[in-house]
Amino acid sequence: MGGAAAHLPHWAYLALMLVGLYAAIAKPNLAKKVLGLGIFQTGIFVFYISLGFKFGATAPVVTGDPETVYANPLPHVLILTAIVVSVSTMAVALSLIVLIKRAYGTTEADEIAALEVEDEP
Amino acid sequence: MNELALLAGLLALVVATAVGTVQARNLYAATILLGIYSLLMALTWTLLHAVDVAFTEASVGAGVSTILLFAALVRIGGRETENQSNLHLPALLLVLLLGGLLAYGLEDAPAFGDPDAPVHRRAAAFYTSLESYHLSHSKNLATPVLASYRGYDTLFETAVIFTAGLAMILLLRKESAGSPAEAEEIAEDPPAAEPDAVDPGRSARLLGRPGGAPRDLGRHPVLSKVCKTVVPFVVVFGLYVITHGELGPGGGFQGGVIIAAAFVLVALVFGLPRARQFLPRAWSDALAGVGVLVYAGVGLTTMALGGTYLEYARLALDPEHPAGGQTLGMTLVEMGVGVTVAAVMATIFSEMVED
Amino acid sequence: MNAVLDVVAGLLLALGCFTALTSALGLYRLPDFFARIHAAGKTDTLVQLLVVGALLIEAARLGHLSAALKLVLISIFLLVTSPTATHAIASAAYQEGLRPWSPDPAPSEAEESGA
Repeated sequence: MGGAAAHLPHWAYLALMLVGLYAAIAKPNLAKKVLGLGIFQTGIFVFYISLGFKFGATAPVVTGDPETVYANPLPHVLILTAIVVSVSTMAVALSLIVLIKRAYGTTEADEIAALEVEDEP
Repeated sequence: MNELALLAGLLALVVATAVGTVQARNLYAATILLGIYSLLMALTWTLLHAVDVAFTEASVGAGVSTILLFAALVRIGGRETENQSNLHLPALLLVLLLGGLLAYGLEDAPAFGDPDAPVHRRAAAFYTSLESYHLSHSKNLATPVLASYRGYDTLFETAVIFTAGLAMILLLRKESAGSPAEAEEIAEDPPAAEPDAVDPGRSARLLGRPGGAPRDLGRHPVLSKVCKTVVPFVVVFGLYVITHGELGPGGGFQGGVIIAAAFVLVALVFGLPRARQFLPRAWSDALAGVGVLVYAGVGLTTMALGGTYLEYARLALDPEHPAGGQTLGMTLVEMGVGVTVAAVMATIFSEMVED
Repeated sequence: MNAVLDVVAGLLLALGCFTALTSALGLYRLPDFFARIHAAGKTDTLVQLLVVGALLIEAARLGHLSAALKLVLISIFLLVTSPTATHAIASAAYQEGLRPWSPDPAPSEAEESGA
């Protein structure tokens, strides 16, 4: 087995990371930037979880059969904590955006930059 | 091969949903798309045999983060301005350059699903062996990795979640409303809180209509009945998930989020003040720290018993069977995680909707 | 016996998938919010009954009784919550001022849409 199938989830991880990164850079809306970073993050999750996958293995919950091969649980553990941490950090980012909205009246990065320039003499 | 075709289809849907999320001008639509994205992700994780991750993704990604984004959008506005150019050329070039470099690097990556890939050797080979099961008596092989072998890692992840909750309080909570005495006053004084429960402005804002007419969901017969019926089951299920992380998928992170979901449900239907009667602000603030302290305290206890930090075998009541200590230690630690996660998620939600 | 059960489960699954597809088509083609949520909400409940029914047959056939019990619980839970959620969303939209689409709108509404 070679070619595209050997790296199937890796291509998806690449695509998700790039889509997320593009949104984080190109979209001026701060909330959209946060969504983009979230997508970027899940791209990396895809990479980790696909590392833990083995052909012919099953989910890492012990069955009665001693011959069973299990998927690698280490990436699972790293990512499941990362998911909960990611929602917490997203909440902090969103509350910062709420404060920015309160101070500037907008959440568009380019408009905020324009307001900053106006403020300077 | 069937599995691969299914995986390819799911991943294509995931990428398409991601593009849709980024493209949507209406941020509410983008949020719903992100929720769909998370559900598709949960299916992908299941297909890749990461059942614990799928569980977390379904409860956090599709549940809590969607509701949180909505709460935030109500306050910051749900529409992107139209004055942006459609294509940001420097960003596109940068992204394509990075993509090219990563794709070039992929050639040397081990093939997907290769059972002999380097990541499956050394410690990982032990994690998936029955030796690990006999040592910890945990049927779910992910749980000892989470709570025992990588216990330090998880302790500090929990601390990060606690810190995020703290940051939310510092950023958004108003000083006047922040005194614990006042929170207790609400909790101990139901008549005063009752009219608050149908505060028109608050429930309307919660549902995306600032200053709108009262949206009295709490008096809606179907919603209030179903909500009252479902909430106890949700809480019990959350507790089950926290305590049964060793027998199957689940654990403190997932269970904590599920308990917080019950809080969010009550707040959505009956208003935040009513939800705060079940979990007063002073309590959730304190519990967020208590969870981390329980976790850290287990470590100190094992030290006091003559072991190293988080050496659960020392907790065994019968020194002949150290696995009993492992079970006890991991259960206590998972409970600590669950308490912190539930309290912080409730804090995050209520700080976001309250103004 | 086993083969018969397998076929029945397969048929239920196929029927569930077909119904889900109909619902997706309705979501895509129907004219307004209420028609769409009607398509999605109704079929949703039916689809979960069909799919869980198929899985239940398979679980019982393979002797996974605890899995079968969990499936029944999941089905009951969805049976209660899914229509409630649909109801909540639709009534929220109605209170928000959204009115169902109709092919020949009332005069006042026609004016509004014309303006």
